[in-house]
Amino acid sequence: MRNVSCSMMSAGILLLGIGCGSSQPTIALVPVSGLVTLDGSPVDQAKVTFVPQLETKGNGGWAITDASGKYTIKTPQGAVGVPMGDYKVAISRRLNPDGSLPNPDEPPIESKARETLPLGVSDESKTTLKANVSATSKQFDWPLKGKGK
Amino acid sequence: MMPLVVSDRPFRKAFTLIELLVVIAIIAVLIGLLVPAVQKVREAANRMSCTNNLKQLALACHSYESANGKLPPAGKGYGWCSSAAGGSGDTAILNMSGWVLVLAYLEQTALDSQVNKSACFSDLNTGWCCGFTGNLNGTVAGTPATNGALSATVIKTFQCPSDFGRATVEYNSGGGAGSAINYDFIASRSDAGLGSGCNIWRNGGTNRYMFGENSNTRLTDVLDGTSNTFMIGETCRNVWNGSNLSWAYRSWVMTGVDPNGGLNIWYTPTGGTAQAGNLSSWGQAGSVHTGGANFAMGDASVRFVRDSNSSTTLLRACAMADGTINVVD
Repeated sequence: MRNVSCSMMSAGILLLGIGCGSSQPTIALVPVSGLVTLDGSPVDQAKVTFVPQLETKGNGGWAITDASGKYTIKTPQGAVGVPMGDYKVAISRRLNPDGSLPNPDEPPIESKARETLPLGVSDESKTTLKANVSATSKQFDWPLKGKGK
Repeated sequence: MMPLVVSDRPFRKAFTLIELLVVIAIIAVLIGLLVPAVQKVREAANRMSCTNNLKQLALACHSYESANGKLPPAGKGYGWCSSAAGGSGDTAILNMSGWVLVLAYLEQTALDSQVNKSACFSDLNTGWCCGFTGNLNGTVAGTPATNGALSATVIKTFQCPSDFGRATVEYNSGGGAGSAINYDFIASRSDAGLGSGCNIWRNGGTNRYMFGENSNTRLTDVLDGTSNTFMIGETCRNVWNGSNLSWAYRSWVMTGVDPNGGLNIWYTPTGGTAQAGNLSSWGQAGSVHTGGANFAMGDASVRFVRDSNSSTTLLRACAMADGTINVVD
């Protein structure tokens, strides 16, 4: 009797498991990383965004630089890398009026923090930075020069 | 000699513990099978109702187009966009959503007769931040008292039954707590005018979406084909960075739905997991239906568009006359 109930339970659990997974067509991702510097010194807490252009698949990706200015791009879904192709790159660094870093869990639109890099670098539609990501080209360093702090 | 049972009750055999456990286990398995099935049917019904809402809105826009010779604008009289006196801003600041003009075609005649379309819906007339002046070419038309109170009216056609997000919009200025909606016109995020000019659609060149501030698109202007171009998009009532949308009024970060950038991009807290149903930023398209979001195309057909579509494909489906025929799936 115990065996019967056990097997029924496990059969039920197995049945429950079926049909819960969703599969999505996956695009091969190239792990993209690099270094952001401003006048030679590494920039931390800068948001690096890869915006897909032309025939590039996917929805691009973004990353925040660490204390040594390094970044590793992730897709909006959290996977490491972006699909191969052409990208515009925007690098944004927002600081509070007192120069401190903004709280990452505060919505940017409600934050007092403001952009410190010029629009030609920081604005996704106006940036002049470009990157062509391929299997061999996946390291992108951005030596910025400017008036930013 | 066997002991006799000394009882006036007739002898009845009781269930053993094991038997009871088996019965309970079987019932548990049956419930386990049934509940997900019922939930799936409920979600399927909600999704269908959601699709139907979009269809109603799209048909209402077509009726409006038949009567007026052009589609409704995404909104009129924005007060927060930067304009000098004599500049590109509307002279009457209304902060009105184009849906207000469509009410009469959505069987909302009573509401349509109550709203004052020449008075403002919110008195927002300053820019977002940083000393942006707002629309200095315009003056706030009347007060938002009446229209603001009416903006709280819940119109079921604007809400997707699958979404249990916020009931009201997060931002309002002088108006009431506007009822939150799940569907809005496809308009570029640049229309939000965060520090840029007014009437961006009017001065917008070739890559225009079907809607924008004071847009006056005719269906014949949709040169890429009405069945290939997004007209109305689905969005969520929970938005992390910015605000959800209202049928009554427009505000900065409340200008419409812009699928460019991807569908269902959820907010992920630092070190946490993505919060499905909570869009990461304003103006994005998304839905709580797994795997994509619903869109009404220019011909009023409604499609479920998968979130595996790339940003560039979605952008081309937004632009009504960029000369590219794209295929969203």
